[in-house]
Amino acid sequence: MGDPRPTTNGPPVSDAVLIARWQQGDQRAASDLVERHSQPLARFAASLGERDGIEELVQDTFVRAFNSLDSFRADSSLRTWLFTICKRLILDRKRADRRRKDRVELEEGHAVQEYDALDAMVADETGRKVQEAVARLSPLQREVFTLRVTEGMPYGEIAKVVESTEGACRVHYHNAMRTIKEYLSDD
Amino acid sequence: MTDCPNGELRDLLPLLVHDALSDAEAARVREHVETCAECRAELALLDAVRAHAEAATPMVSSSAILAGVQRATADGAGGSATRGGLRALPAKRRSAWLPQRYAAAAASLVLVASVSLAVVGRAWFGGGDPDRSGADSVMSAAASVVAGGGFSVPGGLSEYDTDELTALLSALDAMEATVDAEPVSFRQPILDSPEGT
Repeated sequence: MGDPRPTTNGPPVSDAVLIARWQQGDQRAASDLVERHSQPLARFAASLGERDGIEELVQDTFVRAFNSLDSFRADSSLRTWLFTICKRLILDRKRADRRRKDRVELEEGHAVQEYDALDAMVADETGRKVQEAVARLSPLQREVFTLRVTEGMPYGEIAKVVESTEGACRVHYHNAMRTIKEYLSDD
Repeated sequence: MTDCPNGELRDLLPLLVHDALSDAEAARVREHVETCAECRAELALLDAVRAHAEAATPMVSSSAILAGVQRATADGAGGSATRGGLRALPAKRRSAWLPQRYAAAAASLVLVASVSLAVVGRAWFGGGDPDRSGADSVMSAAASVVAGGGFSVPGGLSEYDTDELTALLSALDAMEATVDAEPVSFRQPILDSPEGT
């Protein structure tokens, strides 16, 4: 989020302030930006099915962002912009993978399989059920739901990342929630 | 699990989980949750989903990422290097060819206008009409303007006949006016993309 957040060394510092400091040569500001946004980007990538090279993907996201920060528009939060770049990189990866035919078409069943691969990480039964329920969502529903629930994004930011409208994102979120509730109730 | 009929407050539950509401909004939502079993259940579900997402994502090393970013950007073009780390923001790039493009566009417009005047002048006054000199002077003036902008026609436009001017216009029409720099749209969700998997 571009909003001020607590830092370990002092009062909350917004992304905008950190960007300004970095522009003036403050390397610590760049470090703070990376530290702040790395793990959320990794979660987003994982939610979209990325399993290998997540750290490299996050790194590439920052490289691309820092190399073109002069084109960053302040009407969007840095977080939204980073997520958008990350999504583009994931899309590029998937296209390259497809060209190399290293991956098969991802269909509903395959999505479940990808999440099933995380079974070892899910210690409790509730987690397993939630994992299965989220895997049943459509790709777009999953994107919107992930950004809303795991990142706490407002619909306006989500709409920019998924290139849709706020209203459509709200509908996707509530449809996703209904699907998950129904799955958990039937189970 | 049923839905609370208060859709507005239910919609804010994820933001409550992330402490992303104003104090007033958060108090209002918490007050509602205390009296609403459906929203309490949904809040618990949201906590579970969030916890699962965090548990299922491998921890990445921000220091390793930063080091990689520094290596990558240290070799990047443009920008002024700062003390042994990331380069500071590069100055906004100004396209060097942009003024030339405007000059070429302006020259093209003048050329088209002058040729149009010439054609109209010939149609109205005929080939040997003394008044034709008016159209010729316009064409010469246009040619001099064009020449000033770096787009010259040797000897002036008046030395060209209609066929040659028509051929010149066709060549201008065939020129690429702008570069196609539109980014590829990715409106489709990643996993939904026919090209992605």
